[in-house]
Amino acid sequence: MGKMILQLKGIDKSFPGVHALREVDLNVYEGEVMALLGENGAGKSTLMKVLTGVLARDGGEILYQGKPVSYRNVRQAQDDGIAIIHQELNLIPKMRIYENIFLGRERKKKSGALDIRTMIETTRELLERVRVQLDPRERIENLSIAQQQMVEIAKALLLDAKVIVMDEPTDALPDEEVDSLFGVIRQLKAQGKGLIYITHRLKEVFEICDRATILRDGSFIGELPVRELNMENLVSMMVGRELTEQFPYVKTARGREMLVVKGLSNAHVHDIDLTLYAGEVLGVAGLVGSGRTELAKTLYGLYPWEKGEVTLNGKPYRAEKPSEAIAQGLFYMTEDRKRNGLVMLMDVAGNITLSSLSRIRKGMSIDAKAEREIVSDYIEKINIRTPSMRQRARNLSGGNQQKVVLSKALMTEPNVLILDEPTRGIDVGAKKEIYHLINEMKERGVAILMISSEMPEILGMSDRILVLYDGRVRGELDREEATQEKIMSLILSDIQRKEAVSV
Amino acid sequence: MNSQSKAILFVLMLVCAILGLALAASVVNACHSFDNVLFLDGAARSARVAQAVEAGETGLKLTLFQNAFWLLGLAILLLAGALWCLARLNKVSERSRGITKLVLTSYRPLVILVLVTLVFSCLHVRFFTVGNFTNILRQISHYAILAAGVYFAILLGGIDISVGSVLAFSGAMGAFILSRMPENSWSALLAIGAALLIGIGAGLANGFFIARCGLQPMIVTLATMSIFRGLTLVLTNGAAISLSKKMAGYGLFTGLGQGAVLWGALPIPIILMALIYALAFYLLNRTAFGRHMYAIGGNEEASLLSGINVQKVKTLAYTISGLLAGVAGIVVTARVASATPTAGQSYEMDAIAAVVIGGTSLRGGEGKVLYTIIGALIIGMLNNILNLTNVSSYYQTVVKGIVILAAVLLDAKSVKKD
Repeated sequence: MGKMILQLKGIDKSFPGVHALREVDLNVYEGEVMALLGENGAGKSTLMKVLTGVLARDGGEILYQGKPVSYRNVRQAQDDGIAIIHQELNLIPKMRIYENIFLGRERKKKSGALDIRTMIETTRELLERVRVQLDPRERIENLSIAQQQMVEIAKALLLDAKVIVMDEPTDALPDEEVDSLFGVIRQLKAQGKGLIYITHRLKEVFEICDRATILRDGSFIGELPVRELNMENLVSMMVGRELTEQFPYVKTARGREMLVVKGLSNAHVHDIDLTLYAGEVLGVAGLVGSGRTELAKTLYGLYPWEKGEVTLNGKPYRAEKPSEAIAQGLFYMTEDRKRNGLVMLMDVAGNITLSSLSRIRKGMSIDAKAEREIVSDYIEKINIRTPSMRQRARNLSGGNQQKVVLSKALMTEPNVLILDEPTRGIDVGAKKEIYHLINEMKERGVAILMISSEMPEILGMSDRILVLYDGRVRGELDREEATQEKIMSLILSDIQRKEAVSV
Repeated sequence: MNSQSKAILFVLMLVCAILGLALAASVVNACHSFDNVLFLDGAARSARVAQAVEAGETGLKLTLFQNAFWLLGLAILLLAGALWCLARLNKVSERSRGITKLVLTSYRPLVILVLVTLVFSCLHVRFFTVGNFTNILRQISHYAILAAGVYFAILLGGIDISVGSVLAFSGAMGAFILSRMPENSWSALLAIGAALLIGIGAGLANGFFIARCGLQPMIVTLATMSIFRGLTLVLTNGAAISLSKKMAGYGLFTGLGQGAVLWGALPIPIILMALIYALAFYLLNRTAFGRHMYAIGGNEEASLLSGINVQKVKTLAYTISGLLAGVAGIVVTARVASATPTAGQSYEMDAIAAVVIGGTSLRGGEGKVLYTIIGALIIGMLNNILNLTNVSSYYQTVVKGIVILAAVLLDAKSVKKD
């Protein structure tokens, strides 16, 4: 066990109506990765905000290298050597790598002019330390998310950070880039840094973390070495109950053809053929950028079609904007509920009825009574945990926000529902509820197209699986025959074929 | 802190607040009996007291008058004490904190209105009278009608600075038609119709460029502001078009600006303003269109993906803004019975200020249209009290600027706390 660098003791924090943290402890050791785990709303982000001084703590103390500290803002914490790398990266897209790394800490010559050469050289060294080959003068917008993360880590190294907090770093990363991130994390460990690693992907805990601190509902549950843990007891510590079978798949009788796509092509997808039946879940697998989301958006009328024919429920289907798609019975739930799934300033009720206001019209007005009834019905049925239907969407937890989006989708009574990453960034319990809802819809005869980056989710919930690569359909697998290896080999065969051609 | 001391704090706060308010009210009362007591110098004050005693006034009123300054000081002290208790209470009681926050965020424009009324009532005897308030309301009706339109643009996260010019052009067109058809008694209706159509057309043009072509609202309306000001100059040839009683449509047209009902007590522009705000409130809060407005202002992309016809709603919003500029054009022209090429200049700024002081976020998606009228009222009261107390109109502009800054500052602060 390394030396303790950072110690949070008995941290307490309350918001109006919520006791967000109760006597929470967190220790960070030199050269170790500490996983910080818990469901959404368990208090992980609040704890990090207290650490970096974004929020003032009500009680407890923070010891950094043995000395009590209390920061008033992130900058102070950074200068002291505590860097935090957020899920939403804090880089300026239009600026160059070195400009971002030195932002606010620009090196100057004696004359007062910027010392660009030194900054570029230092940046190059830092990038080498995180093992990425990039020109320091490259603009951030041209970088992949993984590369941007490396830039953030390089920035932390510039500040000579001793503690680095990573908030769900792999959430937006394709699998193959996760490994290179882990490589860098191991290197940081070797350099004696202490890391705090926040994630929802429990598998990663066993792969990269040394210890785990578990929070539940703002309380400290325990700190354990990872080798004493396994998936089951970890999950039960997080949710306070045992989760038996992870994917509650139900078999339903396949209905008639609901969505038939023939030769759909445009700038993003090519010659897509697919048939979606009522009462089934068709999983769409593929790497990020394989055209999964683009296919959904094309069907939803967000990208123009070049050719191809689509029928929905036997009728010819064509949409040039989402309102037309919804009118014909197709709804698309976006992958990023914060960015474009919800209106965060609006209340729960407003968000749920947003796509179907014409259903609750009385003359020119909205029928307020009908709205209240329908919304409270959904809140109960979908089990949305909110103090009232007038609560703003932004005040809900991720899982409950997702349920609001789902309610909005259901209220349009779609025949075809496209789910894009339906469980991204939500906690284990809420995930399970979403799966049950998917099953319920399936039983009611909704045809569901489910896009997901999580292979187990695709395998666990789909009746059939469609594999996409480079905007084309690469194969289709039945539930019984599908395995992770088969899907990967369908994707890889394509890459190999391409390479063979280019050689 | 235990519940007993909480209760003590609460009672203390209430006592302080009530005593403070009561004292403040009595100072206002004193001011009403004796002109502008706070600003009378010693000699004038003694003279005024002697006059009052001679006229047979006695007792409390005189005492109040003589000690108004002290009383006001004491009131302020007590209110500060109440605030201090409240702050202490907020530290220990979640409910109290919640209520305070609600009052300071959701009801802030109302709180400011009440405070401003109270202070201004102290400053001049004629301020808090029915006549003066009717006067203020009539004065604000011009830009308050504009502000209702601009509110639609701002709610979308946009802006409309062309309304002042559209007001001028539609008013000028109305006056032009009246003066060209002095014999025709239908000319008033034609003039009104033309002015409204110009407003709608201007709004549609703004909406087209902003919603369909995706241009920045600020730039588009800056351009149309210039265009319509120019067209006004072309139409009027740079000189005012005066309406005369000989014109057939004079009575009907000017009635919209000068007329009044209820034996002259309720001017028509105030009624128009009230109607427009009632309609705007209905549209924004009770219809699908209004819901869509808030949604687009809050998150345009999510609204599009939810199946809202974003372009249509946006175009409609700017059209409403233009239409209301047309209405304001009629009212302004009718009020002075003349269309000047500079009419409505900088009115767009007053309108935007009213929206902002009314607590609407310039980022869009949040706000209450009825608070816009309160914003307009606050500006109107400010101008009014500065007039009453004989402050130069040059200073009025400075003060208005400071008030706008303060409003935006408060808005930014409350967002930060969120």
